[in-house]
Amino acid sequence: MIELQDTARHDAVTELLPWYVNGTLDESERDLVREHIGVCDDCRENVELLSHVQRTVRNESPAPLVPAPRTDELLAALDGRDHSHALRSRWQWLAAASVVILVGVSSVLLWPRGDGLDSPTRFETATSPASSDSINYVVELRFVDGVSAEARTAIFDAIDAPEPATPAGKSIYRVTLALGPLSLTELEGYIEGIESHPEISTAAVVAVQLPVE
Amino acid sequence: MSNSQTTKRWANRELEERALLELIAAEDRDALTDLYGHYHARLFKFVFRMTRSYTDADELVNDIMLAVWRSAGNFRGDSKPSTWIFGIAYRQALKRLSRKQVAIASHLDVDLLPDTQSRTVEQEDWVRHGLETLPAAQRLAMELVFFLGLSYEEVAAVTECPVNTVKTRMFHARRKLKEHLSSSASGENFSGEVD
Repeated sequence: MIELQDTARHDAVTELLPWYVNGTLDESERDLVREHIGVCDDCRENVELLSHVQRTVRNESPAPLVPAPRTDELLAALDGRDHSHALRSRWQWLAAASVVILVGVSSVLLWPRGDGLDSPTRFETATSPASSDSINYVVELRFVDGVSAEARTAIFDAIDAPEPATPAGKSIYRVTLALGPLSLTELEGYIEGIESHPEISTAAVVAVQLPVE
Repeated sequence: MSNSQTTKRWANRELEERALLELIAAEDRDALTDLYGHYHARLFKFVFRMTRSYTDADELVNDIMLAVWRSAGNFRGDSKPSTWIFGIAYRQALKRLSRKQVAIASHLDVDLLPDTQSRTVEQEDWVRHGLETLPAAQRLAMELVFFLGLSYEEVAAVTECPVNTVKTRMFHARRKLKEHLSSSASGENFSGEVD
């Protein structure tokens, strides 16, 4: 229980707790907090909560693939040249182009060899372990607002993808599709097919999982 | 590397960035390219955390650097260049979210999910989903404090708010996270153990 005369100190410390946790308080503030949490269960609990939040935020890696800087497009934009279309479709093209490269790489890894090497037995991926021997594509689906759960389930059924337990964001779901090696044209056609559903706003390949030895 | 070496290195980087901003204000494109290289990955990760969209984050980073180009002459030098640049990022992210009507607060409402899905959400990571239920300003304050590790003065500078407003936002954000925890059926505690 906090004594009445300590209320002002408690309030002051409470406000400082986030920055006590992230280590940016000056020494006098840090000492004030440290002394108070030694006697205040409420503030100590809040420090634990905020420490947990900080660990989660810092450990979380929602963007496993950081694209390369687009210096040319930035400099072009300085001149007022319109690259909006290129910007919009860039991820789809990047994903498609990466598949062309990756399919070439994967053919080396996947295709039967005459040198007696064992077949690949597992995947290595930037985002998560894979559980099959085919090439997997991680596709981000953004649904239009107001789509019902039933309609969403129908879409996942249509593309033969297990419905994710949790969305990646509002109306955004990521599914892993075992499609095998696709050509650029085939992949573009596949993505366009998904986007042809009126319930889908956008679809984009955000990662590719390849089998490795 | 010793603490003094680290401090010196960061001080040098800050001086370098100040010089780059001066050059950018004089429309030096090479300086913009250098600064872009310094900040691209950090900005992408920051705005991706806000938008949860590769496309939006990818576009936003260049929008932010364009804004840096246009307003470098307004950099008064009374804050760190990184604080000023992330201030632009913060406002651009808010503007994008507002334009797309993607309020961070409504990214996920666990009460609207089917029961089994709701339980899975809560069991998987109540903190992450708790953050996603916060109003945009509170969520962004949390990200600035815990992802970027900014002091309260720096958060105030980035968000162009009084320090007391920043503290109040963080207070309310923490309270809402606690409420989110309380409403969790699984009742994970802060150590990640199930009660």
